[in-house]
Amino acid sequence: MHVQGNATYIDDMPVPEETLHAAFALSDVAHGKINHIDIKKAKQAPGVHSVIVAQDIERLNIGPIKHDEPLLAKDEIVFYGQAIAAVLADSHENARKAASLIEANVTQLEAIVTIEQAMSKESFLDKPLEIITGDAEAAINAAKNNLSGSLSIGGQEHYYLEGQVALAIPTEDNEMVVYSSTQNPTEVQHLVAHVLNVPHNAIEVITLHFSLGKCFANLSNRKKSLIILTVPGLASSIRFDAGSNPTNRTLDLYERNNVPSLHPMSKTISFCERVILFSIFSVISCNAFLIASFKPDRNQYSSYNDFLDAVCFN
Amino acid sequence: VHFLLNQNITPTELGVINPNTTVLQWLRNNNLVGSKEGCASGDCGACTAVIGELVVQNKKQVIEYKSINTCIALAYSLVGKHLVTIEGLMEGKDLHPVQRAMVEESGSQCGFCTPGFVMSLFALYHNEKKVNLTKINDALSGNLCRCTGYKPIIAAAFSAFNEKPKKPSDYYTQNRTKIKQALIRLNGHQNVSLSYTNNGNTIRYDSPTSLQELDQVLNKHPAAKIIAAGTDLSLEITQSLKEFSHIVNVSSVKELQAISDSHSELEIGSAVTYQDASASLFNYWPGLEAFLHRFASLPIKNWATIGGNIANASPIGDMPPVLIALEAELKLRKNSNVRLVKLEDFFVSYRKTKLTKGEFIESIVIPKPTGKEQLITHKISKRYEDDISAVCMAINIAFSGDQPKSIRIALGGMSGIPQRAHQLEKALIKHWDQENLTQQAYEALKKEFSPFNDVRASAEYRLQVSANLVKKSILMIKGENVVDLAEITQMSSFLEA
Repeated sequence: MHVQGNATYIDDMPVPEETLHAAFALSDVAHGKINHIDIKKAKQAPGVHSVIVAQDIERLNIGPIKHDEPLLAKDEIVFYGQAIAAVLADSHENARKAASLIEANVTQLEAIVTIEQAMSKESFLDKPLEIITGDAEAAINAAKNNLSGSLSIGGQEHYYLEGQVALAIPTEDNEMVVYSSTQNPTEVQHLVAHVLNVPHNAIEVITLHFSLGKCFANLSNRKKSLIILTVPGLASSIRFDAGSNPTNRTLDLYERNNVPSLHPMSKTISFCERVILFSIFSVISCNAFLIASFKPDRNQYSSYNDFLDAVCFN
Repeated sequence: VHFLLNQNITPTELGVINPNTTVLQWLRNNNLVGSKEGCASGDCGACTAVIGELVVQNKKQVIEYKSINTCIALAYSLVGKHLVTIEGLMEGKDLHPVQRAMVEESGSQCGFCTPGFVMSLFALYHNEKKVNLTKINDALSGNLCRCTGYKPIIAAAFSAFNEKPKKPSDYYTQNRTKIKQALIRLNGHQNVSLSYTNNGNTIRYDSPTSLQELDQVLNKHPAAKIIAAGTDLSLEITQSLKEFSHIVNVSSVKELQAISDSHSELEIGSAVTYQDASASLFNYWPGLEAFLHRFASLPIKNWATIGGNIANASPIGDMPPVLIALEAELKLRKNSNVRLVKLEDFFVSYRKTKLTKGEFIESIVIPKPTGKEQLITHKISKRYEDDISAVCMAINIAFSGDQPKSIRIALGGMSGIPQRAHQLEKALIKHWDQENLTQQAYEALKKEFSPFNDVRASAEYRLQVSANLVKKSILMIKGENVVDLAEITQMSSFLEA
């Protein structure tokens, strides 16, 4: 099906009549206090059904582990491109055009954008998580030779090919079918159920053609004239249209600015000669903990650089 | 307003649609959703389709098929052409050989990029008898894959060719004559002039076929937006949601498609695509072959025009610095009056040019090399084939013996316009043989350029890399073996090195 172009992705699906299309107004500052969001112009724009801000959503906070991530920024903006309002309209294009009319009055605050700044300000997501076996420090100190250095790795956008898109179809008894370009349908199910305050089994999530996208879902419910947007990993975003529509890759990336796997990392590392424990705490979505260890024979390496190379590449 | 679509010999009618509609939007609105939208800016290739056009080769009329990015091509530019999409490859229940090869070599994972890759491979399959890795990489230069990786896709290209029979092997080769006749019939009346009205809002579209017709349209509507291929301009539609109220498409104007090779000059019509101009350019400046490989992906070069690239006035643009270094001039035309403007004077400030309302570029006139000149070009960018430069540099040196007699250097990405580097030229003549040339080049650049910081590079990086490129150029001229890391595309050759 892939090679024939017959595989149906969510953007290829026909949608039910009167489906609403969502687009977001995004923050253009990295950190700030929201004083006021002006949605008047957007509400009057052609084809607009409604405009939603954080105050309209009862169960605002979501998150894969802790529910501390607002679907729409309420009082504080914490990253560039954070969604501050959502527009529902009769077409994706109208929704996007209306979203661009939303203006936010924001008092800009100092932004922490590098690991170094975060370390010096002690601005951490949570208490450090330590996983310890043995006494590494003592072993390193007792070793005949040791090396130390630092490792930093820049962020890398995944650039999944299929953009973030979801289609939510309300069915009977507060149940809902959600088609989402997600990698984690279970998580989408849990979060949508949480936001809608319904049991998990009321939400069916369908992922077509497993993609590299992160989870994003949009639910539109015309009966209640209410939209609920859910996104694990904080950023909320959605676009949907019946046929082709101009998805905007820049917006697509901004809206998921806070997805941790894109983040750069930096770590101070120490080695001792006999046993090298080289660990990277990798903040991939599953918080993978990667440990590689090996025992190098120092005679094998003619120089310090060769030795380091061996350490790094093994 | 008709074109041929896939295996349908009966022309497809576009009807009156919004002239701002792209080919991809038209396809997807008409339930041909196999072509995907990944970026809507010609970067990812998920929307790739193949376009067939009547051209004259060796005095014979033939159909030339080429891959394009449908997301940034206007639907009305299909008029009189043959569009082949992913839906048009199968014959009955049989897969096309390139589709079969992709399946057999496991060339698809999430599948979203797959239709685009298949179409690029289809164009390659259609146009080539034999392939090598270079040709395959070139054909796939406009396609990005984020999960499978390129190895099985390249393997699919090889395997499709391994089994390629000598005789015509697919619908499009078997039915060549029938398709050609249909296209000839379509091209009898090519001039398009229409207007589309929606909510009382009227949008005009004109596609003249001769200079005279173009003069008339622009004389009457000097404020109309001139579009050639639109590989950059269309982004205003797809990314900024703008709508042009009057589009004049110049890509069908016969005179603007001509290349004339006179005694001392090469004159290239402004609507000549990069792919069509390449043979003439490489003939006189062989070094440009490597440069144009970096310039853009194949689908972009198949569609983008030299005139559009210049008139669009990107501060980077890539070809303008090269043409400035080559002392090119532009023939600007308005109401059938023609004036010549040096390209280095053409760019006034960011996105502003010397073009007046209703005036357009008729051709680009490049003086031919006299034999004692050497052109060196550099492009610094992150992606290899399809990226906007951080810095683009062109150096054209005329020698007297082994010493430089005169030097022309132009830079892209260093200022609001593609700009000549006068100070650097002087410094280079003065310090030609000196050890501290990089430092001298850096100082000279700093006097004349205040580049900006952006996502591609910092100002400091731009200055330093430009100075380093000057040094590299001179080492190249002096015959030193300069390894170009960007050219090392294969891991195996990297390891051997």
